[in-house]
Amino acid sequence: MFRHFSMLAVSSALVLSPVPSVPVPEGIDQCVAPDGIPGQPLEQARLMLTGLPKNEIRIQVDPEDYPSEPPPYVVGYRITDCSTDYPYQQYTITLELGTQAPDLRRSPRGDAETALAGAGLGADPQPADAGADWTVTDQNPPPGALVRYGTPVRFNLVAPSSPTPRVTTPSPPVDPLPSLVKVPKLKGLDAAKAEQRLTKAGLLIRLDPDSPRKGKISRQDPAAGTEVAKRTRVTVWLTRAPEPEGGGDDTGTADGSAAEAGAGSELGPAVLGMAVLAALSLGLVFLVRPKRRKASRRRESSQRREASQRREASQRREAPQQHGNSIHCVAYPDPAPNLEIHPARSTASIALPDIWVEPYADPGRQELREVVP
Amino acid sequence: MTVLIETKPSTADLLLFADPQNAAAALSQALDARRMLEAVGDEARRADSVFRNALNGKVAEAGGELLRGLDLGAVLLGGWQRYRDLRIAARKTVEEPSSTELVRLAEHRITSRHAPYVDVYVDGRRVTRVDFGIDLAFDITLMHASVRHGRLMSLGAGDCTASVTWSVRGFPVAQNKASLALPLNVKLGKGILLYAEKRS
Repeated sequence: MFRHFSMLAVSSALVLSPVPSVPVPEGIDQCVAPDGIPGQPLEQARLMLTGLPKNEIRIQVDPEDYPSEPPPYVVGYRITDCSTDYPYQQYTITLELGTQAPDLRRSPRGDAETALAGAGLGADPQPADAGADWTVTDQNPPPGALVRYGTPVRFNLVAPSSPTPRVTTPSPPVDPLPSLVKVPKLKGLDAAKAEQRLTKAGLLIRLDPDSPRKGKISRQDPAAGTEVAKRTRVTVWLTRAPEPEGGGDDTGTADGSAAEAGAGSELGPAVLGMAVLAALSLGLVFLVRPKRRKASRRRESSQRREASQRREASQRREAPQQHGNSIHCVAYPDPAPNLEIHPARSTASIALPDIWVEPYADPGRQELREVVP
Repeated sequence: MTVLIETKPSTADLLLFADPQNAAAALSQALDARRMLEAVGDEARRADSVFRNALNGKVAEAGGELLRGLDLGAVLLGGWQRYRDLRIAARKTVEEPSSTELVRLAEHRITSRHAPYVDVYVDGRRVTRVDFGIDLAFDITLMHASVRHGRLMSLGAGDCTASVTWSVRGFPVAQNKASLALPLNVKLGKGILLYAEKRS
């Protein structure tokens, strides 16, 4: 409400305000240029100054010689030779020209200086003795800011980071694809021969723990003809060979003799005595054997348990090496380990250098533009 | 006597942040994210986090101070001093000392660009300069002013919307647009000089 009244009062005052009756004396610098000239491209500013009613304006530019590219901007102006008879004014306006500061960031020093020279600006590299390959980190005035021609643009440079060392990681020794070999037939062979055959084929022999230590091979794993990787172990089982014929010969001879003794009447009492002796010894054998068998069975049972335990442990160890799982592990040491070293002392005890900052305020540059309805 | 206009919020930091403490925090975050002060650590041969945090904190605090020191009323007055009709009115009142001019200011926009900076010293040696940018824009609707003796004596303000962008080394830290409360009628004491007659 109050605002409406105040606006009404303003409007009334404007209507009733007296027309200035006293002519403004000449000779004082009171010519006023249109708002918004600074910041305009030169051609735009010329247009704004041309054809203004009640104004006679002579336009000059400073500097007179300026680069055509990038396009010049008006960064300020001076009014001279002012002659005014309000509302008429006649004056010379000298448009101070400049350009937009190019974006130098991330450019090498050489390129930055070339760009500045091309734009008609000065260069103020920091540090001054930086190499041509140093890179601009920041600049003042910032990119795009309007600056007068010849203004030095200060830019900070950093040394190029030392070239990243070319890291060549030695490629791990290439393990040739495991060549496959056929498992030879081992059935019927003794362990020594089987080992020879397997070695020839590039394979290893492994005797099943449950298998008798001697005898001929009755089973094999993997089966004959299976393709496996070299150095695969082939497990074999031996079957105890039939009792050697030597003992049998003796028995056979005795049996034969007895038969013959029964058959032949001419065998003498010596032979008969021998037969009696043989029968006695046989009886003794039958008496002693069961005890031996029991001990042997106990021993075997114990051996089997141990062997079973060994086998399980062995299978656990050897499982990855068996071709059937197709797991092939090759261990490589890390040629470039990530090594870190940490000081043990507390960071709180690290002495800080003397850091201080000095702020500089900027009152700024205000511009005012009327909003044309 | 310094003439001021009390706006609400009164300073640039309050226009950006509800809590002015957040100004330094936001700046510190921006400095850290952009690794703007990394080169200082390299130069001072201090790459540890204690040094980095201390440096960051000092610069952030100083940057926040610069923002806090920017009085929005003073900026507005600086803009109005450039209003052509006010200057013409001021000239008239100088030529006719007993007169008072009432000027109606149409809708207008005041822009103000500030480039404060902070010089950083480590062990007494200047190591870097951190440039800031504070860009302000005020959109003001109808207002009126009275001018006497070449001075702006009072203002009756309309509505004002202010926008602000705060940047460090060209990278924005924060920006905001908010309504700015201006006093309905401001008496400017002895007034603000708009035009002074040249002494021959």
